[in-house]
Amino acid sequence: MDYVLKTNALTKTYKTTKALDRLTMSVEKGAIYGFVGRNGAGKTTLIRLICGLQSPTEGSFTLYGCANTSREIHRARRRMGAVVETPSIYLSMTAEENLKQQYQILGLPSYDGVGELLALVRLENTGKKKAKDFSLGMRQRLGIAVALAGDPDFLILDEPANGLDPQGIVEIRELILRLNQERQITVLISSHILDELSRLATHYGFIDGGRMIKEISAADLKASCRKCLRLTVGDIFSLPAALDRLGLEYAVRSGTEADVYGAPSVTDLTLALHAAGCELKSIHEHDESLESYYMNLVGGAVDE
Amino acid sequence: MSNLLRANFYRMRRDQMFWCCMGTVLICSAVFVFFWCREALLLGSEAALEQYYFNMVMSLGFFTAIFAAMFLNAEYSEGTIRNKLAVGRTRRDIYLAHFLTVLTASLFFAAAWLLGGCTGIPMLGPWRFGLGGLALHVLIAVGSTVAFAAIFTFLGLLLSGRPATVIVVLSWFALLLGASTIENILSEPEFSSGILMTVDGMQMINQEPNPRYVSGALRTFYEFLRDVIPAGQAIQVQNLAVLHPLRALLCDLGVTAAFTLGGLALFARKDLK
Repeated sequence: MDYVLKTNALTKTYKTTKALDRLTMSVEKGAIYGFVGRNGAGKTTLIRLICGLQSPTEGSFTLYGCANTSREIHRARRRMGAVVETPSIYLSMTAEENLKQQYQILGLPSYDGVGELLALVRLENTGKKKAKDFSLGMRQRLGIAVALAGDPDFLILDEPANGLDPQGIVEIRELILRLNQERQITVLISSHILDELSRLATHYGFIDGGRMIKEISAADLKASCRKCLRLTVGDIFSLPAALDRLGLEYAVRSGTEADVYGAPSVTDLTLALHAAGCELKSIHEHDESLESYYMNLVGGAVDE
Repeated sequence: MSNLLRANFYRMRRDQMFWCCMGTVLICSAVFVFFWCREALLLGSEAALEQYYFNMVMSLGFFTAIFAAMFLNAEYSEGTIRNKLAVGRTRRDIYLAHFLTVLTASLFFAAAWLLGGCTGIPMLGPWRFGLGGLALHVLIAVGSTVAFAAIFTFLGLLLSGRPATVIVVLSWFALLLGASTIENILSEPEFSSGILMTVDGMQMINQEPNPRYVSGALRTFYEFLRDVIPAGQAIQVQNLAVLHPLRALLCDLGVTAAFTLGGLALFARKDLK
C-alpha cells in the first residue's frame, strides 16, 4: 500500500496544553481522507505540522516517504498544496495576480496554467475585481486554486466548508470530487460538518483530545453502521418492558424516541407495545449516521 | 530564493504603500529642497546645496519602517506565508527574500530622495564638497538605510498580528529619540559661556566647566553608540558631520549582520499559525 502521509506518535505541546497526543495515522494514495474531530481536537495543529508552520514536540511523520527531520522534506512538500484555516490570498490582488504570485513562488516557467486553474474553480470571469471584494466562497475557491498552482499530488484542506452558504458547500464538494477523480489528487480534508464529509470521504480518521480514536475506510464504516427502527411513542416509560419481553436490543434517544436494533417483526413490535399500553406514533427505518458513529466513538455532543 | 524574491518584487510593484512612500519621498524631497534653497537665495545666503540636500535623510528610515510593517504584516494577516512554507520554501529563504525586498524598497526611497533633492541645483549650484563628499555622505545614508531594513525585517517577521505594524513604526521613533538624545549629550560644550548678559549689557566672566559635558570613556561610548544606531548616522549625515565614516559603515554591516542572523535563528523556531 502506498501512503502519502504517515504520522508516528506525533505530539505537539503548547506550554501546558497538549494539542496532539501521540497521534498516529496514515493517508493512502488516492484517498479522500476525512479528518473528523470537534473544535480544539487537534485537526488544525496536525495540518500546521505537516505544512511546516510548526514543529512537532515529539514523534515524527513522513511525507511521500521523507521524514520530517530530513532535508528532503522541503522537496516532498513541493508535491503538496494546502489551504490552512482561512484561504491564504493577497486581498489587494486579483484572482489572476494571486495565481501568478504563487506561480513565481513555485518558480514555474510560464503562466500558461493560470487560465485553466481559474476556470477549474470557476473564477475565470472575475477580471480586475480584487480578492477583498470576493465572497467567502470565491475566496475559498481562490485559496484552493492557489494550493493547486504547483499541480500537487496531495491537497490539504482545513475546514473548507466553514462559513460557506449551501451553494458554496456544494461547489467546493464537487470541486474536491473532480480533483480526486480526474486528477487523482489525494485529499486530506478536516471538518466537523460530518454530513458534508460523509458525501466525500473514502477514509476517515476520528480524533479527539489530540489522539486518534479510530481510522476506518468509508466502506468499513458503512458496513459497521447498523440499521435500526426509530420509534416515536407516547409513553417512553412503558417501552422498555415491551422490548425486553421481545428480547430486542434498543437505545432510548429521548422522552419520545427510541432506536430498536436487529430486524424485528413490525407486527410483533406493534402488538407488544399495544399490550404494554404504549402508544406507537410513528416508526421508520434509520441508518446510523457518521455523526452518531462519531458520537458513539468519542462520547458526548458534537460541537456543530 | 530567487523565486521568492521575484514573487516579492511582483507584489511590491503592485503594492500601493510602496508607491505611496515613493511618491511622498520624491515630492517632499523636491518641494522642501526647492523652498529651502529659494529662501537661502532670497536672503542672499552663501549656503551650499548640501546644507539642505541631506535634510530628508532621517525620513528614509520612517518610510522604510512603514513599508516593511505593511508589506511583512500582510504575510501574517492574509496568511500568505503559509503558501510559501506549505510548498517547501525554507524559512531561511523566506526571511532573506523579505529582507532583500525591504532593502530594495528602501534603496528606491533613497533614490527618490536623491532625485527629488536635485531641484535645488538650479538655485544653489551643485554640491560644493564635490563628488567625493557627496558619495561619502550618500554611502553613509544608504548604509544606515540598509541597517534600518535589517532591523525592521527582524521586527516585522518575528512579531505577528496588528500590533506588529505599530511596533515596527514605533521602533523607528525610538531609534530616532535615542540618537537625538545621544546627539544632544555629545553637543554639550565643555565649558559654560564666558559671556554674561545683564541689564547693563554683556559682561565677560570666567569660563567654567559644563557639568553636563561628558568626557573620557563615557564620551567614547556615546560616540560609538551614535555610530551604531542607524538614526545616529542619519543625524550625522543631515548635520554634514560624519566623524568616523569607516566606523559608521562597519557598524551598519555589524547591525545588519546581527539582526539578520538573529532573525534567521529565531524565525526558524517560530511557531506560525
